[in-house]
Amino acid sequence: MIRTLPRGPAFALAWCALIWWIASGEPAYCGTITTSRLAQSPRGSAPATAPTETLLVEVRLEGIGAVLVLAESRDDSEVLVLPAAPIFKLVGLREPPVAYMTLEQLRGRLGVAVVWQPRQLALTLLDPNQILPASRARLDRLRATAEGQSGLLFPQGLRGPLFGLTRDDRGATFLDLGYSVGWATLRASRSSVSGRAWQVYVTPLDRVQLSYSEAEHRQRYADVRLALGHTWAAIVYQQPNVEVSGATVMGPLVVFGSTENRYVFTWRGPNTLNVQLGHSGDRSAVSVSFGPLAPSPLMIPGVR
Amino acid sequence: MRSGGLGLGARRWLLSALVPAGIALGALITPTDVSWGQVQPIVELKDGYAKTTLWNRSTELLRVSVELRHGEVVDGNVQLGAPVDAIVSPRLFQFGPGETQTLRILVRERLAPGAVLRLVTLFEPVVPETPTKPNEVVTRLDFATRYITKVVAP
Repeated sequence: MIRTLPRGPAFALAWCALIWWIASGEPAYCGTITTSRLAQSPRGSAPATAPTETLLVEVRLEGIGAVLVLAESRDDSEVLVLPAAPIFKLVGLREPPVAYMTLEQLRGRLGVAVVWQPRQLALTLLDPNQILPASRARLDRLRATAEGQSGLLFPQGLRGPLFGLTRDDRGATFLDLGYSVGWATLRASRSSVSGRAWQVYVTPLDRVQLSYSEAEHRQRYADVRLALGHTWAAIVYQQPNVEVSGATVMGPLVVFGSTENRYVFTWRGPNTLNVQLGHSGDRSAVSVSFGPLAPSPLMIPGVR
Repeated sequence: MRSGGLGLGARRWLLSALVPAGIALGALITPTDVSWGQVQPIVELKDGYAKTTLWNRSTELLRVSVELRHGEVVDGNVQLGAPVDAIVSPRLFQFGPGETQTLRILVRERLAPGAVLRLVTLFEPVVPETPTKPNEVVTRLDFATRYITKVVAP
């Protein structure tokens, strides 16, 4: 009796002490714990968001890139104020008229859709009509690359033999054979209508393409195409003529010219305004256009 | 004659102590009131900048506060130190069930290679204060979840 009685209260005391220690202690790390002490957060009765808070916002221009800016959220996240200079630089514009802009001011100044995603802390600029200089520059680069390619090559990386046989209801046949090693392709064909032909396409460098072809009843053909940033050039030999053509972008001005007495100057102004001055053969033309569908700077304007 | 075991008085005393203690413990571990947020355990800084995501895995609106502190491990426990000179964005926000929030961190201090900072994230449920009846007194126990995770400089 003397030995056993103290065990009960001692156990109970220890148990209560354990409960008290758990209930009043610091929270565990990287896990959940439910204590009343944690409810005493520093915010106390503060609002959901601070009246003015500095936010790290990623401003993205689709297809171009992104920049991280320090923005300010004011009036309980109702107003977002952004530094204008890095955003203007991203979209290819010069110095902004003011140092800071709200979302509404940014929409009005840039003329594109501005989507604010507070959960991602991201601001996305959507420019499907290529209004912004950076979007246009990207389009120019894509166009130069596309023009620099003959379009007859296998895509890089694809290789192997090719075979094709076609027969129509006249009984005419066309047989196509070839092989590609990725950077070079050799093709030979035989047509019961147009005769035999063969072509070779070579891409020694990413931005340089060469092709040569010969065919029965047709002139020999060869071309060299180059794409360098915003400039592309092509030299086309079709027996016995040689034509050199090319285009380059100089700010808002795109110049296209050819030794076949064809050229066109395209000035891309603000708000999708385009002015073209072109000449082909013995005819010249001026074109003024407005709207989201900008004319190709490689097409000679004219009345058709 | 009883040579062992507890006496009647001791049993009653023990019972009276165990019952409220058990109730208290049960209330503490009841999962319905846990503020179930989720954070990434380790975030790596790159040129002083890091981006991570917070999740609200609970069924209620949560209020979140975030701060970045120095810290060290002493006897197996993390001891938080002074706040780090950094921009933590956003520092304070709310998000609903199932929502996520991107968190961006920009450290202005020069950190030694391999330095470990502590991101302290506190999740608390947002409970309306208004009583359902006039002159009603509401007693409420708010539970919160605090995570202390690592932010590592390369």
